[in-house]
Amino acid sequence: MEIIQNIETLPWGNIFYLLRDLFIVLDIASLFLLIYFIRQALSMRPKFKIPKDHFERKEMLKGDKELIKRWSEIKKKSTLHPPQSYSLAVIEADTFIDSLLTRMGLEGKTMKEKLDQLDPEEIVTLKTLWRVHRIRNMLVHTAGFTLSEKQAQEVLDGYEMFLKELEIIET
Amino acid sequence: MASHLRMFKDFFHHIGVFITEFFQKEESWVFLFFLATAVAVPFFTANDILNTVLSFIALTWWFWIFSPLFLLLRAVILYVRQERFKRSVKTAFFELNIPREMETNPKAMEQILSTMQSLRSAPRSIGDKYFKGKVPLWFSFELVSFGGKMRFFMRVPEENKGVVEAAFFSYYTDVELVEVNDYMDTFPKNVKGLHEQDKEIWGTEYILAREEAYPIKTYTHFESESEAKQLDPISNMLEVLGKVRNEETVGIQILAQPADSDWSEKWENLLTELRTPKTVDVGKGEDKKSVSMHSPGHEETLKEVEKNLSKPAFETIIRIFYVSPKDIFADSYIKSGISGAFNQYSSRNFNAFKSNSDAGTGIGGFKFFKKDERTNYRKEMFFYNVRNRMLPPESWIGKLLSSYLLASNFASKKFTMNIEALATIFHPPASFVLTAPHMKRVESRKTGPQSGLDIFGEEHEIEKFK
Repeated sequence: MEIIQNIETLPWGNIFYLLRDLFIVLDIASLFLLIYFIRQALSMRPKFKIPKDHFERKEMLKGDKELIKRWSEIKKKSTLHPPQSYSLAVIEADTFIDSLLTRMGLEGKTMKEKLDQLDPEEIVTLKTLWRVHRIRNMLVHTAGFTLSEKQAQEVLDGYEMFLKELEIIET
Repeated sequence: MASHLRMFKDFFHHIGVFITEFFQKEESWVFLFFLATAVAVPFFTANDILNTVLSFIALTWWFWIFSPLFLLLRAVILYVRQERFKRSVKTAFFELNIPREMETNPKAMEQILSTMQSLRSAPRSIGDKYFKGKVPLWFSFELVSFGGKMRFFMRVPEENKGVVEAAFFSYYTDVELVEVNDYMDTFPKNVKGLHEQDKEIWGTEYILAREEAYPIKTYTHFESESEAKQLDPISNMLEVLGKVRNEETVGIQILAQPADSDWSEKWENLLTELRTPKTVDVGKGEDKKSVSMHSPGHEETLKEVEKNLSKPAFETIIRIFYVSPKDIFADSYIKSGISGAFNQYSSRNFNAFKSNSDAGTGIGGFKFFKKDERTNYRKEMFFYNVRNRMLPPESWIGKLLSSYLLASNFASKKFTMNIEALATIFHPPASFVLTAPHMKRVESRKTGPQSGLDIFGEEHEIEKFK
């Protein structure tokens, strides 16, 4: 270990340390890049999870207390500042349902892709869910679209029916 | 004086040759290493050596870590970019409509393939290679039987569409190239979807049994002067595929990626080995002589290998797939039929096709651990590759990163095959094969309009007819 202390006294000692620091930075950078690209590479593999059964999927999220809490918060918010809070609540509720679908193991970029994988015979409220999701899409994409209180209530009820069928909230 | 000089010259020359040869051998480096250790060790104690090594590592670890890390990073980046590029390639899908009357032999297909080979788009700069991830674009030649109805397909990169169409039109004037939808889109996305439709899949890949330098039996071996003795090995394939039942689909998919034009250089050593004559000692005592011997078979092999290596080539993958409803699923007919048809191209002196079943849907002999799950994964992997005409990753790292724990992607293997061989296994069959009732055919002959007709309208209006 004596050599290490002696290096500073050598004429090229500074260069040595500079080089060392440079390489350490490069090492760390390439390590992070490596992890990043490996994760990218793994995500590019074809996805063929051995699928979960529909029945199993339906009962996956049953009785999750955290979800009940979040849903009641969304509903509460909708009545805070009408009429803006209606639209906000509808959008938030849709995001909430979308995250549930992801947790159920459905893959896809949009909610449409995820819903397509569900079986309407299995999940009775799927049609309702489709309908209210369309209203939400109109709200987001159509300029000048206003949501009446009645409509907002209908949309939120639609989402709630889906939650009830999944037995996340009690009937 | 001059002779002395030459002597010195020769002497140093010999020393020079000796030194270069000495350092070229790996053994001598091992020898030198042991020699150095043997000389050095008595001067140091073990502790000294350990200390020196440790402090050396402590001082310079950052350097030694960097190079493997960098190489690994480079390989992974290259793989990611190439995969992205492969998926982003736009393609056109053609069906080959073959007329009832056609005299053209596979030679024409060989010409077309040689045009297609020249379309090789290898990355030319570092940016092309590491940022765009360019790989040579590949073609897919497909021979599919839908319940006994044979159809020929071809998938071509969008940017090469024009050249390929022109090449076909010039050699097969009567073959119609029609752009159609990819038939694979009529299948579900994955095997899970197939299973939901109560269908089952079997598949495998075919590879060459020997080194790529040895050719298969090509169409030139089947040709003869008189028409009565004309043979086309593709007819056997058509017969096998034509006999499947209504609900079944069988396909042969040949992926071809233009290979580098110096592909034959890899086999220089084999060629020189083949060219060196075998010597045999004859006679006894004073009369003893060495005579070089060449069996006629050996001569022929050498000739064929040279011919094989002289032509441009494609990196090829041959996949066979069979999809059928579960209740009538019977893969044994296809297995034996296809392997029989491929066996026509084999010869003992040359090369042969064999099934690369590790890359197929089977899981091999080891059936004790998670049998169903592994089979499922293998099927998914195979179907994904067939459906998307995927080429296996180039690098080892890429193969590793595209594998699953239960389904590795290592077995799928490209092999180089020249245009003559490729034309032999895929070409529009000539009319003497066409007696087979399974083929979908064009009934009437089509010709273009005469040249020099007046065209009424602007350039952009005739665009759509091109």
